[in-house]
Amino acid sequence: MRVGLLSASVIAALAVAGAASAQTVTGTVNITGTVNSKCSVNGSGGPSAFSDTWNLGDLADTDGTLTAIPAQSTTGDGIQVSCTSRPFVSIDASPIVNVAPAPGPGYTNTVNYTAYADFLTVPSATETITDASGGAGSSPAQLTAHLQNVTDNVVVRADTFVTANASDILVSGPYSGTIIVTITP
Amino acid sequence: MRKAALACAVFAGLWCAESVAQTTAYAPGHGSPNSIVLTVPVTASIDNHCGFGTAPSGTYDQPDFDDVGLNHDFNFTLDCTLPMRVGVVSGNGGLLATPGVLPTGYIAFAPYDVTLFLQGDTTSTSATCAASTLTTGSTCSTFLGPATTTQGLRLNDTASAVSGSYLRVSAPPYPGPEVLIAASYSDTLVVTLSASP
Repeated sequence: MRVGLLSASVIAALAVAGAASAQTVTGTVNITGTVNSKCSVNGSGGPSAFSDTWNLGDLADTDGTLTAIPAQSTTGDGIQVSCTSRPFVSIDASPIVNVAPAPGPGYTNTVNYTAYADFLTVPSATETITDASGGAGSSPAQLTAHLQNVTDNVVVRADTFVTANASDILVSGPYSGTIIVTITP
Repeated sequence: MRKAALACAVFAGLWCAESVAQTTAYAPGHGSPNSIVLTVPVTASIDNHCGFGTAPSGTYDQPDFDDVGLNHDFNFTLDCTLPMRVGVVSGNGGLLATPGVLPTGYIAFAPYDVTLFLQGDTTSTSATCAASTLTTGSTCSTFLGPATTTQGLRLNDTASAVSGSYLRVSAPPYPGPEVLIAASYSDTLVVTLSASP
């Protein structure tokens, strides 16, 4: 009887082994990625800074006082800042200064002005920040919308060039100043 | 006689009807033969089978993929005793984010490519499709899933859990012109395997 039972088990096992096993099997993989907040100039992976130089020429009129300086702008320079989020922006303008000191009252080695940074934001707005040279600069402020993804979406301007007194005579020599626009993701 | 009777009890019906009339075994000292040789043929077979030895699985996470691109292999093994097909279906057709309102000029979808490489016991095959062509019912002509006996990349070979097969995802740094908006992106690839005799 024991042998008979064993034989029945063998037959059952053979029947299972002979069953068809055609099937479709599945595997699943996940791909995830992150685009962090970041900014670059002129396209993804581009440089982290842009620059331009305005040569204002002779600052003095024939009488030595400040001549009329036209407004300056980077419009048309092709600056395009790409940010993956709404950036924080600030501007800090330093006066245009001659390293040679003023010899006394009635002379000056400093020209002040007002600097601007215009940001084209979606859908079609312009947000502007301003700084009068010689101050502490503007505090970082977040744009209310993303930058437009277009050329010249950031434009730096300057106007209203003045000396402390309109009658001040400019000291001869080279002058230089700087406008720094900081865009932080 | 006792042994013959026992044999009848064990193989009731089938064997006893013939053997009882033909052969008698005797106890030692009481005649011969003293034993009876029984031959019981045992045969078995294993049907063709087809599956993953190790199925593709896991998660590949790539921070800043917009700057560095994508490049990863999901390795797996095939275990099939006959030719097979493998198909892939992409859930999103690319890396997709759901940032809400998307500003003009920005995008929340990044393309990538999928390469399927199948390694058999003696041969291999491979193909590449854009993930965008791997959504259900899309246009990847070589390995759009789900796999069936007639659909999917076919490996005309057996595979005894041999290593070397992989599912590769790749993409260069995102070229634009749109700006990928800051967000978390994801996609899911479902890989199916079917026998293809």
